[in-house]
Amino acid sequence: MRIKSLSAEGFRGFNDHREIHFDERLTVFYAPNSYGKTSITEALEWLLYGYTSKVRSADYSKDEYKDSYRNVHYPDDGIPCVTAIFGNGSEEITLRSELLANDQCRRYLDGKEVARWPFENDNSLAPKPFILQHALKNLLLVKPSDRYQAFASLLGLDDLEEVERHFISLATKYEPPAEVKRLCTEVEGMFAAAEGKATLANVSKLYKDKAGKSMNDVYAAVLAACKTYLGTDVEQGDVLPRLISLRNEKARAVFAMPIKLDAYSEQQTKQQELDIEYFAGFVTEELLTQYLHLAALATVNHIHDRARFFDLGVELLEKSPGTCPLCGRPLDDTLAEHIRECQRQANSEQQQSDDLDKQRTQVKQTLTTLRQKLYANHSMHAEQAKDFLALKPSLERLRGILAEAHPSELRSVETAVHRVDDANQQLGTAYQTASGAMNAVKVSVEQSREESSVLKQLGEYLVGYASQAKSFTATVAASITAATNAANALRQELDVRAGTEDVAVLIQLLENRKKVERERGIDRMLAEVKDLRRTVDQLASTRILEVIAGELTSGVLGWYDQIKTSCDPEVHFCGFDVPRTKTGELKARHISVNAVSYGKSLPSAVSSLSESKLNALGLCLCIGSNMNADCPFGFLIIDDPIQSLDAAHETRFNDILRELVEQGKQVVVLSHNKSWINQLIAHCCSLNGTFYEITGYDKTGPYIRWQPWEKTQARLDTIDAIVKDNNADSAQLARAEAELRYVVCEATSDLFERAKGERKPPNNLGCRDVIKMLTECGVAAKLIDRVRQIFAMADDAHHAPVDYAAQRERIARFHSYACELCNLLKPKRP
Amino acid sequence: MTRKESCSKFIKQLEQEAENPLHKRILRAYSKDSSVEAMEDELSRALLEVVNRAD
Repeated sequence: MRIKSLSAEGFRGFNDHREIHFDERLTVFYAPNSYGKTSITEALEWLLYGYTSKVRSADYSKDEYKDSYRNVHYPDDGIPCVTAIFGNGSEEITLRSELLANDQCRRYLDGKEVARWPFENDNSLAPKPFILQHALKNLLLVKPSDRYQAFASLLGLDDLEEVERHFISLATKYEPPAEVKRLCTEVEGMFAAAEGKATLANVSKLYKDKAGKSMNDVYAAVLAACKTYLGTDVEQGDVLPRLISLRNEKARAVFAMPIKLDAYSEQQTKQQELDIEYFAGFVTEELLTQYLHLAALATVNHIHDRARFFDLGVELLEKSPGTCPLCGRPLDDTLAEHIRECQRQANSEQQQSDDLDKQRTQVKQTLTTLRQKLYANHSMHAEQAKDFLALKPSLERLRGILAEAHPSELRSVETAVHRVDDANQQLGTAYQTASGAMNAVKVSVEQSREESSVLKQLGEYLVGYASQAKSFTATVAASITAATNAANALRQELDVRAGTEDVAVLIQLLENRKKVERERGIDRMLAEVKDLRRTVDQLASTRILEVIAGELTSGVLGWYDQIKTSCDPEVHFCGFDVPRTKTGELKARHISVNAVSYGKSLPSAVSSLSESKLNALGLCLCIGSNMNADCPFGFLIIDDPIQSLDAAHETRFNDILRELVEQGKQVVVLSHNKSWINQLIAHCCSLNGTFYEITGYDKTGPYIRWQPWEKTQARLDTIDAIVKDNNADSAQLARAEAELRYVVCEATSDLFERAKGERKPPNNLGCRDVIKMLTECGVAAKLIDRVRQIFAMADDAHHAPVDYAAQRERIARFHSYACELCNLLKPKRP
Repeated sequence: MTRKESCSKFIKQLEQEAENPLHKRILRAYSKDSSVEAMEDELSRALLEVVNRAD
């Protein structure tokens, strides 16, 4: 695939639209520094890959390069784009890429949007067809790991290299979850405590030897250490309880009070929430109404007596109608009916009284439930802080133990004890007050002296209790850390004073054997991740070695030998390699550049070769990788190649460029060095390439001007000299005839530009194009016919080598026709 | 062969040659989603299994 043309706008140095046509063999650009030369390379690189190597290599400072693809002068509503036409024989494809926000791109293949280019799938492992000066140093004058990365990129193995980096990141930067870290820190702390203790030295040593010693080895040493305290005849199952008992016994002799304050359990916390809700909402409107109804029961006994009295009266009345059952006097019917009515009323009142009595029972039951809950709640809190508060009388003694070595723990626990004590007292007072109010309500119910104020006060006191209970819970929770730290400090201090430090460590190790085993498992797994990284490294290095040590080295050596001059000292590059470690493994992410000095290997080739040789080597490396591979690109873009080369090596490099073209590569060279460019053109004169000069640069972009490969008159003079040279061979004559056609194309292109204002590159013109253009320019038919003869009679030395000399006259005639055409370009005399 | 295919082949080769179960797990996670995060997540899962293992 060769590049035919490139157009760009809004991208890098291009603001206004610019279009460049490439010669199918050699195109040369000259521009002073900062005239937008590199924008041409970058436009093409970005079009093909979606990024430029300059930005990619500056990955660490992406922000600095953010949005740098867009030309700052390009209108905000415009879409920067790069378009290129590529050809392969008669086939042509047009690639267009538009630059979107956040450096994203949208691609079109022959006008149709595509996600990726077709050649990305076919041959994406091929090296990139760019030789960029800034990239050459990254190949050689860098740390071995960076060189490795640059080589991988050059050889199209950057994805493989990225995989390798991912595994390195996993092995070196991975942060285990907090739970895992906590366990490891805890276990490491236990063994750190064993360190420096005479009887436990072996335990610590065995633990550290993770690769060589198993958990059984470590715990055998722990058991052996335990036996020094318990005697050798102790049963294994008895070791831990006996050690604990030994330690406690000795500790109690120093200080008997433990520091103990537990957090509320989940169940307790849940119950506390329910209780608080119950207390705070105990006195409701409904309860108050129910309670006040009970007041009506004050006459309850009287109602019962009255009902019984009327029942008996009516019974007597039924037996002796007409006689008052109370006094025995005669009764009339009206009075008797009055007695019966009074009985009915009394019975009705008694029924109501029974209902109220049931309510009284309910209220009493509610009060009983409240009493139980209140008691249970208060007991729970009291029990929670009991042990901790029991410490209060012993604080003075505790101070004597902790003050010196653990002053902050002591201060914290003293404060905590006082706070919990205060909260406990306030809770006790609230409990007593609420209990008192509850009793008052109970008495009021029992004595049928219900008053709303009594029940309302209970409600207030219960709210007060709930608040104190809440506050107490919070105080306990806030004191737990202080209590735990002080307990640990006390335990430690007691171990020191009681001489049980080693025993304490042994107890911890025995109690936490499962944790130690898990930590060992985690440690092993993390080591396995490092092993995996080594495996990946080895496989990736093997792959890289296969590529660099074989074809690449021989290819690069071939080109490097060409660039060498006979005057060079015998200090030269001799190949690439991946060095090995002492154990024979390939050194990870390492590529060495080998060199010899007068037959002897140099220890460090990169430091031994001069900058110019490294530059030459970098060029050869890029050329070698491009020429070796099965590359889909038939072109090679070489940006500023001759930096630091002297004149002799520049000339050698011209040979290399010519050879690349002759081997079939389409070459595009860009340079700021005009004299070298002229030298290159002269050296490749017969290739008839295309030469562009960037003559200026402003905010619209670079001014890219086509320049003649060689001055027309110089060409005509050369042709004339060949024709007149009787010793000129057939190849020279063939070259002269080809040159004549080129002169005609060039003159036609100039005439057309003058007449029509449009430039058509002469390199791409054929006979038909020339005739058509000359006709459009109004050139005389007779001359056009002569020009046609130049093309029509074109002979090739390869086709008629025997009688070619006889054509010398014809070439001389064609020469005169060409001169006639060129004369049209000369300014007419007034 | 594309770069992606080349990498997949590379990982597959590693997976086939791996004997260590943890290596296999990590490589399998990577072959599904070629990111460091995928491997880190899998490794975290494996480590937490050890931490929370029933005695």
